[in-house]
Amino acid sequence: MARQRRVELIRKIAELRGSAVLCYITGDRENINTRIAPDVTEVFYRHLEMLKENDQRTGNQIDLFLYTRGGDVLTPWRLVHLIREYTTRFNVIVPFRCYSAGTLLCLGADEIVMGKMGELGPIDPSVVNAFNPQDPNNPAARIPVNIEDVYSYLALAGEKAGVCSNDQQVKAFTLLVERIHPLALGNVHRNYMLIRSLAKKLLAMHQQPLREGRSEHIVDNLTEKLYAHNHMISRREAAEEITLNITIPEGNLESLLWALYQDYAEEMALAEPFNPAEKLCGNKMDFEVISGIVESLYGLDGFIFSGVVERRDFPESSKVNVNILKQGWRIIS
Amino acid sequence: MNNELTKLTDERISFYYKTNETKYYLLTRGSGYPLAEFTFPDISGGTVTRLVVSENMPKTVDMVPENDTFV
Repeated sequence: MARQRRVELIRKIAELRGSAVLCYITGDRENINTRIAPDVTEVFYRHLEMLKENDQRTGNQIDLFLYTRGGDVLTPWRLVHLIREYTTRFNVIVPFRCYSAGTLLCLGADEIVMGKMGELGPIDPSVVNAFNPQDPNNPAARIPVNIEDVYSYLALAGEKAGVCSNDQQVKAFTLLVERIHPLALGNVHRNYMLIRSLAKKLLAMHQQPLREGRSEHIVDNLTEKLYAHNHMISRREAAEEITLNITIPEGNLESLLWALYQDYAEEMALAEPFNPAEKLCGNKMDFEVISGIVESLYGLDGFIFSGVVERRDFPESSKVNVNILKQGWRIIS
Repeated sequence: MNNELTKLTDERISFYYKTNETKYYLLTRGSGYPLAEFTFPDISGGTVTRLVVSENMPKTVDMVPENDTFV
């Protein structure tokens, strides 16, 4: 099992860093993703309690090894508070992707350790609720609205289209409201305020307070000054332009971090789309697939999708019906 | 090996495996974010609309453009 190999890697990383190490991977395998979400809080609690009992380094420093494309905007706030219940110094290790809610979580860390492949992303969330615009191709689905797109439209109207007078501003806003439900726009504005507030509060949790103006500089850059949600922020940009507290790992540590990421990627088959049709024998088969991991030296939890895949009388012979019957975090060891 | 379940939801989700199409993912209450169909007959005893969003993940081939910028 890969767990044994990973335990060795985690042990070596912990020794080099002088920290207790907790790993959190949200899978981005096509068709069965997981995201940062509140249900992981209890899983973290289990591991943090085990670290407190078994690892003397916990009180001094916890490193969170994190791979994610993002998720719920409020969960990082809760997780940082929870981790800081156990330690005076909290750091995040970024071997590769750490976008959106993952980057938000990094803001609560005293130090962000980024390898050569490490990537952060903007914290410009898209929001979706029942009042969002319908997808024209699928009325049952809602189109997410990017918060910065809405504010960018209003800025465009003001700065480029010469919308200056109150009447013109009302007209520009009316155009927006005709296309996006007012309650969806209300949700956009609430989240516009929320993300900035959360980011500043997370930055204020550092051991060493940031000098005046730096917090605003970081938040402005990550929310509105990168101009593209899929902008990939390298460690150089993160350190020199955004002025985050970035640490560059020395060669041996860098190799260990990448090896650990690769082990997770292999175990979760992140590079291969989940296609149960490929493994279907006969007309029906049960499946279980892991798509999220929380791991430390003392235990392993996995987010498991389980269900049934069936071949029915579809006109296309390769088409199968996939039913996910259960999903959730499970203690594996 | 301890197979204790810490959290388990019974959200039944169906989908057909799709390629080269816009994919719709279900916003669940937890960490799960699976590909899903637009209606969920197994939830709440009837056909209901849930929050389903389209998403693409850029890759080198078979890319479904969402917001491409060309120069």
